[in-house]
Amino acid sequence: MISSKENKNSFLLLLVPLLMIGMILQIVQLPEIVSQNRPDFLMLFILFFAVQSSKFTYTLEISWVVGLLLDLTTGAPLGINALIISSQIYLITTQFKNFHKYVMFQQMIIVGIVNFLVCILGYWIEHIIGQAYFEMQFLIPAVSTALFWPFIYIICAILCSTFSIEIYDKEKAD
Amino acid sequence: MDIDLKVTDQDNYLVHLRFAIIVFLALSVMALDVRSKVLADFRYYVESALYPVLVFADSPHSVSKIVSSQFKSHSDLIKENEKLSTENFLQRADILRLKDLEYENEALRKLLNSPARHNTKRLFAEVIDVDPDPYLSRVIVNQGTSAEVYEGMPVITDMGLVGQVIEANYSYSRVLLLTDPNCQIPIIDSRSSVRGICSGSGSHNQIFFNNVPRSADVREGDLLLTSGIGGVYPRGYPVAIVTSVGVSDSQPFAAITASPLVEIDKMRYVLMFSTNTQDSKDIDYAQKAKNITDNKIILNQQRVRDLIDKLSVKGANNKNEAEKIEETSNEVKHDQ
Repeated sequence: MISSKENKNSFLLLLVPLLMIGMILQIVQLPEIVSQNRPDFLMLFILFFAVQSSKFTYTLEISWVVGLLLDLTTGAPLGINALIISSQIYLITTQFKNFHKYVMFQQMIIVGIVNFLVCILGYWIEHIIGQAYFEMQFLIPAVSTALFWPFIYIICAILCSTFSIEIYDKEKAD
Repeated sequence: MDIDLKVTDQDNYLVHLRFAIIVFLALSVMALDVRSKVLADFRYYVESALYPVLVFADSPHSVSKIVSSQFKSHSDLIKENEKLSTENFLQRADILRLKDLEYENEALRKLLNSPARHNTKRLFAEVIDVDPDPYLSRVIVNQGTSAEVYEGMPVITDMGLVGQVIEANYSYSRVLLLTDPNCQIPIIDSRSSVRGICSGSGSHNQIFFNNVPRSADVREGDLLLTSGIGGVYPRGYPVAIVTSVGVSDSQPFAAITASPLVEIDKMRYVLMFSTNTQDSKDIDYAQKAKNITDNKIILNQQRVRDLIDKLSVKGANNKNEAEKIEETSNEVKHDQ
């Protein structure tokens, strides 16, 4: 038991590179149609570790810092993406405590709804700042984020098993 | 079990507290950034340091471009070369005429005592990233304050106006596109000289020509140019072509939409233009011209006064002389 624990690597080994990849995916130049409906990769990566690993305690703080970095790279008002990402993580981890036990399509619905709500919050704040304009398209990323959740989940799960990273604590604890 | 519950309750409580702190921090940072500009320096340095990340993010695009250019066939290259050299030849011929017109214009402006415009500084830049924020239409170009880019610098392409620089970092800068709702450009209709301000719609192929009375002479197909009013955009650059003019009796203004000439979603290279209003030579010249004009008014006034005086004196003299002549002639007549 002890030896198996020793063999397990820290989740940070995977989280940090994934966050970097997520950041690149968020800012990489894509055709306009794809770019407008780009899912929230960073949030999905953080969400995977937040719901799967009980050891990952500083989810909110990390998502805040990552969001701040995203603001700096995209030139958005400082703090807006930090608020958006951390709010999503907060809502899902506190309001849906058994999120990791849900069936995949239920998880997708929750991710989509929370992303949709927080998108409206972001739009609302940017509107107060005076930078936003109304366009129904801004709600489509919520759908694409929900659709991408199973892929991100599977990719992360495969990567975790490949690099023998301990993440399934929560299920064992339950 | 009880202990576990207590621990989880405490954890939950802590999570709420942590989230509250994070929300407070995010909102205060946002307020500081947007309203007070306290973090402007911080942003400048950190964003300049993050430039490699942007370059890396653009790498798929640039790599695909390099690869596709490497795989062009020899005959394609020859064709392209021929086409470009023909184009170059024609453009050289046009430039010959342009030079002549420039000299003529300068001479005419000198005659009118208005300062000649020297648009000397042009900066070639490449679009390296498009802002992913769905609410903003902005692009990032690879020239910054190191190449003397400043905030408010107009940006164009060979097709027309693109927008202006809104944020200049050390090695890159952000360009606010003319399609952004925050971008307002003073324009003039090239056909009817109707002046106005256009603003972006948020969509990349449409801008609005706002607050134009229904009676204004704006028609479909009119070319809109920058009017030069406001001092940010130089005069005479094409902006858009009017696509529809909607006049409704219930509305006080006409609903005019135009389509930008620049294909904003496809452009790769831009020219950044400095109008050189800060150039000391231009200021000197403008001052000189102003002095000349001012002096001229005074001179003119003085001249006119002198002239009137002279004329009146001359007139009086002439009168006297004429009277004298008449008298003498009468005397002569009497003598005879």
